[in-house]
Amino acid sequence: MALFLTKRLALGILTLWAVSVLVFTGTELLPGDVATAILGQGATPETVAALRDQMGLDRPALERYFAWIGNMIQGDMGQSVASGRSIGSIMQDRVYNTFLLAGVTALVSVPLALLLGIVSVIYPEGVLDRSISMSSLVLISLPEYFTGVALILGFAVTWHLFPAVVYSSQFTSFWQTMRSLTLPVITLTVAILAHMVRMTRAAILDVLRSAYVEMALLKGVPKGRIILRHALPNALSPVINVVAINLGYLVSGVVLVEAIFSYPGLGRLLTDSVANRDIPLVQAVAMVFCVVYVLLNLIADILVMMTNPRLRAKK
Amino acid sequence: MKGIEEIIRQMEGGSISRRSFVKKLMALGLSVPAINLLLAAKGPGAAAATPKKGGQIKAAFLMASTAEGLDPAKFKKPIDYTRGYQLYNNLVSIDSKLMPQPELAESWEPNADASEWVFKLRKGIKFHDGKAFTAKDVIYTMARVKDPNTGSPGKPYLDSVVEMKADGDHILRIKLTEPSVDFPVIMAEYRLMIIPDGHTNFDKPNGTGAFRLKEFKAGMHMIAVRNPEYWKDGLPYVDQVETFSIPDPVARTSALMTGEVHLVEDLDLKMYKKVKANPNISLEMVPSGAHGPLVMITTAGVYKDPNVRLALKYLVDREKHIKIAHQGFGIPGNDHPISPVDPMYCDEIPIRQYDPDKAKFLLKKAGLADHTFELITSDGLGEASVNDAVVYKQSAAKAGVNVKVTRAPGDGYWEAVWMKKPFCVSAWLMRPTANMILSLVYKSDAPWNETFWKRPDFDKLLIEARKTVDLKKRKELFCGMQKMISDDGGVIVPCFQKFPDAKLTRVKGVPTHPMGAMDAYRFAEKVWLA
Repeated sequence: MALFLTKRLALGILTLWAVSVLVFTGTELLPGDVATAILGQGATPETVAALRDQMGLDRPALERYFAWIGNMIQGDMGQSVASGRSIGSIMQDRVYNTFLLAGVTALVSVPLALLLGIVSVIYPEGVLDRSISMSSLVLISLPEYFTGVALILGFAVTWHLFPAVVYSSQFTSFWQTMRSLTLPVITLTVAILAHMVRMTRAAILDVLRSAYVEMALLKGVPKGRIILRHALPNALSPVINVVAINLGYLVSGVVLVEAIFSYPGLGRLLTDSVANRDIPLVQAVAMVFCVVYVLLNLIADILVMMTNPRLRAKK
Repeated sequence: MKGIEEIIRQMEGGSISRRSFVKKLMALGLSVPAINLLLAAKGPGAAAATPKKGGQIKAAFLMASTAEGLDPAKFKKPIDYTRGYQLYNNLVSIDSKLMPQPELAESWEPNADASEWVFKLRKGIKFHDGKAFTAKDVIYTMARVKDPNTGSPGKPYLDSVVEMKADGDHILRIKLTEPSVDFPVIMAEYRLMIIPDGHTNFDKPNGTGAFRLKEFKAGMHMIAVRNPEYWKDGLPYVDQVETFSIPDPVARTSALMTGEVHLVEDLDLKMYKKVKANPNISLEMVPSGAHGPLVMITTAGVYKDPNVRLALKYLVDREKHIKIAHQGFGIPGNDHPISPVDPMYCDEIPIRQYDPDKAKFLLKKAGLADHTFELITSDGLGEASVNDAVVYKQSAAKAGVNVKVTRAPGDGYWEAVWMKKPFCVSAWLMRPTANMILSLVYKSDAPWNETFWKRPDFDKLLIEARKTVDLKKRKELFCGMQKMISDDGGVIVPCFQKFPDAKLTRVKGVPTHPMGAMDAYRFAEKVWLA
């Protein structure tokens, strides 16, 4: 178990390192540089040169990479070149906002997905199963910018039930916060629900086809007990993995949803800083996304092991 | 008369219109003169004259970024300007007729050729921290913007300032290297909002403005609360103003339609009809001096020939540009950068009409009848820029002239295309005076002389105009310059843009201003909620 964990951890760090190289070279390849982007239409060769010098853009890329990764390891994400503020303080609120949105969405969507998945295997191919399948498939086919805008048009513009945009000064009380988050949470839930429902359903059905379930059935165990007691625990590992992927998406893939609702999270920070050519900020946000993915996968692996005694046994 | 009171209340609450107000009262048997009296006392005009105190205002702007701050010297975008106007004051402000009006300066006086200025400052004004406002603060503010190490976009405006001297606490003397009758307008520059002498920490801004900072988070929002000791009597009306950005145009528009924000900067014009039809929103299209000229470099290739430049100007179908590229929201340009909203606009020059025959004749004369002119534009400059180029191509094609439209990427457009390629689309915001845009872009040694057009006789007129205090004479000089650019210069200005100024109808006290939405971003101190 310990060996396995160490291995996973090492692999995770390796992934992070590889991503850091990709992020760094990727941002190097952006057309133009911070200096010209900040100065825009008013750039003159002298001001550009001065700014480049000031930001250390003249040093070789390799040297800048090691300086950057070194600081990153020590927890110093550096300074935003566009504003001169420390990246840590800029990201603080954004990280909170993003995790708030992702957390609430996870709390809503994961139990809902499990429930729908379990309900649909009670009578496979029955009316309930078919309608759940159908509607989740239809919903997953709708892009977020469509769902989001449609929800705004209905619930905000026409019926005035929820706000059309979300900004952090709305978060004055718990209920106010939940009210503001309702539409973005629904939009995100619609986007990720189907994947988890279908995986739950498929995994449970798979187990239901196995011999020991047939045995239990023949022994007269009630259907509900078979599903919950016998099938579900064995079906959990693929479900956990899918949930982890979707949770990772909630943190890093919400750029569109954040744009539609003008939500001040990490996704908007990323797009803003790309537009500003604030390269250190872009790199820091990308690394945060990567750390979240690696951590979630690690947690998923651990959970899978805990739910599956066979993986724990020594070989 | 309970019925009348009820109707008056409805009218004041805005739930019935003026017309149905009159109808209902007539139904109650009131005579027309009596109704008129009531209207004068209780109608919308009367309501506008008695602003209400209190309330909170939210204004949504385009892009916000973590690069923003509250240091006036570094302001770049409308969201910065509007926050600045809440916290600070200028010496001078510009009214909607583009004339300078006293603000922290009570009055000003030039010498004979406008190369020296004396500003008399208002007495008894205090900064938010209680410090008294004096000439020293103005000198510090200006010196900071002038200092190249500050990196302020406002620096060029002060390049001609050689001496700033305080004569006591409330007299400021300024010497310029060259005359400038527009100098007071410069003092209304966004970056010249007055900060106290020695101030450096802009996380804790200290100004003389109508609001004090409550909370500021870069890239997210600023909340400012009423300054109870504000020096303008009775202002501001509202208790709190919140400014933040909603980058997505659809989201911004729907936030206004749901009444979540009171004012927005720019909206999705595809939703124009829907917004216009909404009774809770007042939407006006405001004529401005912003324009996206098609720029020819007058020292490059075929564009060296004035006949070719003139020919290309005859190919502009201005109405089509307004109708198609700008969805009807524009005013015709005349191939020079001074718009009809500018007091220096010359209405004696007839607007050049679309004339394919003249264009063809001139091109034939230049031996370029079959030439293909490549016009470069970019999506990065906005949809209208690309549409302008395409509309131009089509009206040229109707005259048998080949124009090829090339789309360059928005990234790096200003570095790689602008002032490098001989024929491309550019973009200019409105400048408060004709002198400013001509000095920035058209004088031979202008820093952004995008057409590389160099005419000593033009420069002479401009220098003459800068020291001509007499308004009529000055206008004549500007007229001459506009004619020169229009006939010989390297710009094609199909039209000037109108921009949307949208707010909830219950938001009062915010007039339109050609320099920008929300009373040129100064709405906060005068706005009130009905």
